[in-house]
Order: sequence, then structure tokens, then C-alpha cells
Amino acid sequence: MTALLSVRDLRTTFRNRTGVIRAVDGVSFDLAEGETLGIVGESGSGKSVMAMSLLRLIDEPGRIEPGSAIAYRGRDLMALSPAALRRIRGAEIGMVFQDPGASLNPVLKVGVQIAETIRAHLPLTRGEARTRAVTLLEQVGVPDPELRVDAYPHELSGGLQQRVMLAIALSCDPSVLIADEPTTALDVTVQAQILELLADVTRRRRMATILISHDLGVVARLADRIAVMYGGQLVEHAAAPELFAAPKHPYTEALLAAAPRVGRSVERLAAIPGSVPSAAQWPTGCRFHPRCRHAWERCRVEAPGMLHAGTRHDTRCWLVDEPTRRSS
Amino acid sequence: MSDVPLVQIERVSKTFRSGGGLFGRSRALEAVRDVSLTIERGETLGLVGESGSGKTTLGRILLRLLEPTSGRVLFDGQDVFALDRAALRGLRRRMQIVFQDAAGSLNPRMRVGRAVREPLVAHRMYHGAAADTRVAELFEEVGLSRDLLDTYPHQLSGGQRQRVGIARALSVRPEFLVLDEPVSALDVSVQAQVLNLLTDLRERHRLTYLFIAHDLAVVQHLAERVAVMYQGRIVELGPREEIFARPQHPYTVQLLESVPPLDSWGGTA
Repeated sequence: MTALLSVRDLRTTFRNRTGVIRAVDGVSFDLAEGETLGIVGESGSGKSVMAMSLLRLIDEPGRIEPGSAIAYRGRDLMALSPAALRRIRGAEIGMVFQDPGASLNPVLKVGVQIAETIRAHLPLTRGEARTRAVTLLEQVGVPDPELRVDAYPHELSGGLQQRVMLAIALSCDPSVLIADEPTTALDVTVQAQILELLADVTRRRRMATILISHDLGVVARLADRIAVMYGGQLVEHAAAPELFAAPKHPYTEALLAAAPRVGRSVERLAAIPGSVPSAAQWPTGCRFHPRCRHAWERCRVEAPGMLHAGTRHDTRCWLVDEPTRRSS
Repeated sequence: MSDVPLVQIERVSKTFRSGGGLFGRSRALEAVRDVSLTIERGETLGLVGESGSGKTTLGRILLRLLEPTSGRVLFDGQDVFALDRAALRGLRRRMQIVFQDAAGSLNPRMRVGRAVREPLVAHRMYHGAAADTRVAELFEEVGLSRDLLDTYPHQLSGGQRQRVGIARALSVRPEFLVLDEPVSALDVSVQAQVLNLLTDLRERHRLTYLFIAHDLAVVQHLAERVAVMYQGRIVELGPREEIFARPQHPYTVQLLESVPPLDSWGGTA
């Protein structure tokens, strides 16, 4: 099986007066056709910078370090010219971001914005692009698409705006969709609708999807595989059912235990002590060790790589080597 | 201590008027519609609803930060909107609020130690060295290192800022706290810390909470009773276990079903 999108040792840094911020620090994964990969991380884990890096949307003072490899259908995205890269963005790889209000142009009708993207990539007339925009709006469940195509973003609710963003992302039939916190700004009931829509659209189009969220529950709904990100690195990577049933990394375990769940009320939640470390100064050794209840000397000095913990199940934790170190 | 509930909300409505400019007719938005609720002493009432449901407006009305269009609010038997200035000052000390966004509610140019000290002095409860001691105690109580007294809000993490917001609210020894989405802006791992802190503080100081949130899962850990608000009205009210086990209103059912499950997964399986 060849990967549609293959990422190896991706490193993105930002330089400021005080030093180097290693926001993404050695991320590798493969995305197969039609597959949904969920990436979970808290704020500061580097997940959004990672998503932007995949399309080389990193501006000064940020930079993707040499040695990082991103291949789409075997083509090295790092080596492409800006023009060639633009042809891939939108047409081959679509993106949806958290805040549709900020991503849409407030003074252009949504139909115009969809048509704009279509015409940037496909040889269609204005009229044809508009017709296609209406069809797309219908596909993403916008009611009265013939009317809404002439609406301005502020005339639409947050849920409808996010559907428009999805219509734009889908407009040129991309093979890969990157959705970064697509439902975070939305109300719970609307969030459920958008997730259902995403699942439906990606299945029908056999589109590969990278779904990024801070919320394990959101990712759980859609993902075939899940990668957990912490401190600019992936710390666990497994099939979704396995990750929930048998998490191997103490951070994943703690995250699952800390999440409040409906219908399971407890006196005290299992909080993770401390807070997310800063990219300006990652902890030595394993980046989770200051907050880990199992940590021993080795974790403080020696940084673990991704270790095999099972079939297609990797974790960045020395417990794989020394399982007896696990404290009860 | 008297028998009357600490907070009584009686048929409160709030209508906002907007527009009426050059082009449009003025529009009326009924944010809160005929809401009646009581909160007993020592109780935590969860108020759950989506954005635009009116839950924040209702919380502000309780604290007399907003005037209702009709209806009244009694705190410890006193009509909150009938008080004179002196009485209102006393009342303000007894009820405090913790906001979702501690960064937005703290003065960015004021050291956080001073931000916690300010209400103590404003209410003439402590002065000079006694105030400093009290601030240090409060920091300890909410789990903040004293080393952070002289930092500015932007130097703190989201969880630390929210602890400052809680310390500030607690400083004047209130009886009642409105917690308006107190953990919504925090990461999951930090959310649990703050929820546990709120549980401890409630027990230690016998506090009464109105816990406002959009997230049912978060509310259930503290609230004994839950009120569900939808389009300005309370559509369901009951003990926590009842609401979760046997929701009656279709909107509550929808809300419960919308919460992403963690015990099962979608995927292609």
C-alpha cells in the first residue's frame, strides 16, 4: 500500500529574539487513500502548525527545516515551486479551519467565493462555476442553496458558514481534506451535524482526511486511526478502537481519564498535574516526564523514539522497553 | 441562617432592542423569557444551553450587572433591584463572578497579586500588610505559587489565569459565585484541575454556585440540579441523575446525543 500523503521527520521552527521555538519537532506519518487520520493534541502541542506545514503555509519568521519530507502521490512538496504548490492547494488538498467567520471574506457573496476557488483551478465560465457552487452548497446540506449562494457570510449562522467553508474545500474534488478544529467554534448540536456531514462527504467521495482536534470525542467519531500529539511530536499512533481500549502512552491514558463524560459523574476528575510545556524550552528526555506518574531516571535524560507497542501501534514511551516500571 | 433560598428568580424576562437606524426597523431580541428558578444555600445549580440561549444574560441579571425588563431577583430574601447604593455595595461583596476568559477580565497591565488585592481594599476588608497576607493565602488556596504574585496575566498559562480569576472572586469571602463557562477555554488536562479546585472550594467555604456551561459533561461533576435553557426559556429542570438518565424535553435529548462519545468510536468500523 503506497501512501497518498507521506510525512517524514517534519520540523517547523520559529525564530525570535530569545531563541528558537521548535513548534513541530520530528513528525512522521502516512495517510492512505480514503482513510481518516485523527490528530489529537492540546493547545501548544503543535498540531495546527503541523497542519499548516503540510501545505507549506508557514511564513517568516517560521520555517520548515531542511530534512523535512512531505510527499503527495510521490511528489516532493518541499521541492515544488510556489506556482506548482498553488495548483495542489485547494485542487488536490483542501483545508477547513476552525473559525469560518475569519476565513470567509465578509464583503463577497459566498457563491462568489466558492466560484473563485473553482475558477482558480478549473477551466469553467462564471455561469458554470456558479451552478457548481449551488450544487456544492446542496451537497453540504445548506438549505435553499439557490438563495444562499447570494448571501453574505454575516447573513449565515456559524454552522452554515462552516458548511460554506467545506463547500469551498470540496469545490475542486480534492483527494485529501485537512480539517483543523472544524467544529470547535460551533455549538454542541451543530458540531454533531457538521461531524456527521464530514463523515458522510469523505465516505462518499472516498477522500482521505486529516481531522485535527483538541477533543478526543470529536476525533473518535470519525477517525480510523488516531495520532496523539504532545510537545511538538506524535507520542502515540494506533487504530482508533485500539487507542481507546488499550492506550499505551501515559499521556493518552491521562487524557482519557481527565475528560469529563456524560453520565459518568465522579467526585474528583483525574487531573493531569502541571501544564502543557512551552515550545521555547521543551523538557529534557521525554517531554511528558514532568507530568508523568510513571517517570523514572531514564525518562528525564533519554528521549524515547516511536517504539512498537503492537500491530501498527506505536508509542513514544520507555514503558514499552521496561513494562515493570509502570506504577499502579 | 434563614429558610429562604439564597437566590430566587421570579418571572424574569429581558428584551434587548437593536437597530432602528437608517434602514431597518428596530428589532427586539427576547434573550430571557419568563424564567423562574431558585438556588438553595450550598447548592450548585448547573445552567446549560448553547450560545444565544440566554444563560449568560440570566447570570448577569442575578448579579445586577444587567436590569431585567420584567420580573425580580431576590438574594437572601432582598430584592436585588430595589436596594440603595449602600445596601448594593454589601450585596456585591456577597456575590461574585468568574468569567470564561480570565485573560479578558484581568487588567493586562496590573500584576496579578494586585488584581487579587484590589477588591479587598475596595470593600475595606483588609489594609496594608494584612491585605498582603490575605492575598498570599488566597494564592495558596487556589494552588498558585507565591512566586507568581508579581507576574502579569500574559505571563501565565490559561489555567493559572483562571486560578487568579477564582482567587479574585473568593477574596471578599462571597457566599454565591456565578461561574460563567469557567473551564471552556481550558485544555482538557487543565479543565479537570480547575473543576476539582471548584469542588474543594465549595466544600471548604460552603459556597453556592450557579455553574453556566454549554457542556453537559462538565456541569455534571458539580451540579446537583441542572436547568436546560433554550431560546430564553428553561425547558427542563431536575436533579442531575434524572436529566441524564431520563431527559424529557426533546432539546435535552438532542443535547445529550450530541456529546461526542468516548467509549465508542465512529471510523469505518
